[in-house]
Amino acid sequence: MASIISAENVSKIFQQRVSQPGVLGAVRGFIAPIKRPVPAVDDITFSIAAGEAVGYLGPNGAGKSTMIKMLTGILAPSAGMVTVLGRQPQAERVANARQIGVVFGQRTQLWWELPLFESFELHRRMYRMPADLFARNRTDLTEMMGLSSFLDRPVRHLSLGQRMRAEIAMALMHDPRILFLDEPTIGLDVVAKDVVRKFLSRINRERGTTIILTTHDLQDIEEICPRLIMVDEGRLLFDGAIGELRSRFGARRRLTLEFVSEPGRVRVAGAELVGGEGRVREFLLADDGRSLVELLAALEADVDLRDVRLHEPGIEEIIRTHYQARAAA
Amino acid sequence: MSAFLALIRASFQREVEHRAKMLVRILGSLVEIVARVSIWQAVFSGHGSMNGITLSQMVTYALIGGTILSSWDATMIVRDVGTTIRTGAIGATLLRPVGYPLMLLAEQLGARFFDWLLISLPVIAIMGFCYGLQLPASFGHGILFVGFLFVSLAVLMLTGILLGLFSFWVFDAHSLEWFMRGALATLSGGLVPIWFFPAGLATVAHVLPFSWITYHPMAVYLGARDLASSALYLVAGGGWVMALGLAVAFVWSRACGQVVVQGG
Repeated sequence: MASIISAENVSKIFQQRVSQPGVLGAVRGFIAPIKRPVPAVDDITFSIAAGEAVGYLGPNGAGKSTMIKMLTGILAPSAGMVTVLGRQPQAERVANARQIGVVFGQRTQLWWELPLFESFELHRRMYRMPADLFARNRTDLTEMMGLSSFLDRPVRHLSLGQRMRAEIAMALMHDPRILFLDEPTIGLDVVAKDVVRKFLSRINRERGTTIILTTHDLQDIEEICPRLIMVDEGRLLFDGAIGELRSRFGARRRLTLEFVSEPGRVRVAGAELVGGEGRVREFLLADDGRSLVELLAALEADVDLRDVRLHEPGIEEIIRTHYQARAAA
Repeated sequence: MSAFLALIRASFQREVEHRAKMLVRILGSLVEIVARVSIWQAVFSGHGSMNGITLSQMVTYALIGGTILSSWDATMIVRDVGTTIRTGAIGATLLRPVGYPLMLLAEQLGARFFDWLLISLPVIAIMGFCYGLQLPASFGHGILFVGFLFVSLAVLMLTGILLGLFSFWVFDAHSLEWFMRGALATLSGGLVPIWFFPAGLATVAHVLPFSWITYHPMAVYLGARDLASSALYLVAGGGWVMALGLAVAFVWSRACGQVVVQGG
C-alpha cells in the first residue's frame, strides 16, 4: 500500500537560552544571550501506509509531541522532510488541516464557554462540510461516544472523560483520512480509557482511518496499534510489530522452579541460572521458542518439582528495562 | 465566509456568557464618560468655544469617541495572542483549517459587536440623556460617518493583530500591549482631539492611521469638515486599511516559521 505519511531524516532543533548564574550572568545573558541547540527530534525516518494504526512511544521529552506537531503542520522541521497525504504540512497548513483530525490530550479544541453542539456546528463551518454528511456523522459519533446527555452543556462544565470523548468525536466529524492523537487517554479513569481504546480500534477497522497515537500507556498501544515506533532522546529506537520488540530488545522469558525440598545443583540445558534460594531456582531462557514441556524434559535435578512458572515479559517490562539501562549508562 | 461569520457569532455568544462582567463594564464606561465630560466642562468654563469647537460638540465627542470609537479594548487582541502563545494554546488554534489572522479578526469582531450593542449603546443613551447628544452635522455627514465607523474598526483590529503577531518574536506581549495602549490613547485622538494638539504633533498624528480610529470619524460627525474633504479622508482611511491588511499578511507569513509551542 502507498504510504500516506512519511518522515525522511527529520530533525527539529530548538534554540534554548542558557541562563547564567548570578546578577552579572543575568545581565550578560540579556545583552548577549547564549543559545544552546536542543534537538527534540533527531534524524528520524519512517513511513506509514493508509489504514495502519501506529503507536508512537517514548518517555517524557523524547520528541513525540514535536513529531506530531510537525505532521500536523504546526511546526516546521529544522531539517529533513515530512510529507502527509502528498503535502508538506507546514507549508500547506490549511489544506492539510482539512484532511486530518487531531486530538491533543492536554489541550482542548472545543469552545470552552459554548455548549458542545455549538463546537460541532463551528467545526462544520470551518471544515466546509456538506449538511448531509455532517448530520450523519454527528448522529453516528454522538451515539458511539455516548454524547447525547451533555450535548447542550457548556464544555467547561464537562468532566475530563466526557470532554475527551467529545474531542475525539469532533476530530472525526469531517471524515479525516488520518487521526493524530497526542496522549488521548491521559488522566482518564479505567472505564473511560477502555471506551476510548475500543472506539479507536473500531474506527481504524471499520472506517479504515489511519491512526497515529502517542502515549505513555502501553495498554493503549497493545489494544489499538499493531505497529510500534519507539523513540528516545529524539532518536528512533524501534519500528516494527509489537511482537518483534521482544526479540529485538532481547527480553528473555524467565522460568521459576520450586522443588519439594532443597534441590542442590540444578541444570536446565540452554537456560542460565540467575537466582533463587532455598527450594526455588530461577532461570533466564534463551530465545529459542521451546515449550514448557521441552524445557522440563531438559531439567536435570535430583529432587521432585512442586511448582513451575513461566513468565513472559510484557512490553511494558521490556521497555522499562531498556529505559532503565539507558538511564544507568 | 461562512466559517468567518460563524466564528464572529461564537465570539459574540462567548461574551454573552459573562453577564456579570457586562454590568460592571457598563458601570465602568459610565464613570469614564462622566470623568471625560467633567474635564471638558472645566476646560470650557467661561469660554463659548475654543478653536471653533463648542462644549456641546466636545461632550458629543467624548460620548461617542469614548464608547463606539474607543481604542481602549483593542489592546485585548495583543494580550490574547500573547496568552495563546505563552500557554501553548497556539498549537490547537493552528490545527483549524482557517488562517490565523482571520480567526483573530473574527474573534475580535464578535467581541466588538457585543460591546457596541450591549455596552456602548446603553451608555450613549444614558449619558446622552444626562448631557445632551448632538446629531450628525448633516445627513451627508451621517452617511459618511457610517463609512468611517467601518474604517475605524478595521484600523483598530488590524493594528492590534499586527502588534499581536509580533508576540511570536517578543513572547512577552505585555510590553507590546502597553506600547499600543499609549500610542492609541494619544495618536487616535481618543483622549484629546487632535484640534488641541501642538502644531507639529498634530501634523504627524493627522496622517498616521491611528487618527482614523477616533479623531477623523468624530471630526466628520461634528461637521468640522465639508462633505468633499470628508469623503477624501474616508478614501485615505481605506488606503490605510489596505496597507495594514498587507502588513498583517506579510508579518504572518514570517511568523509561521517562528511558531514554538510552549509547554509540551
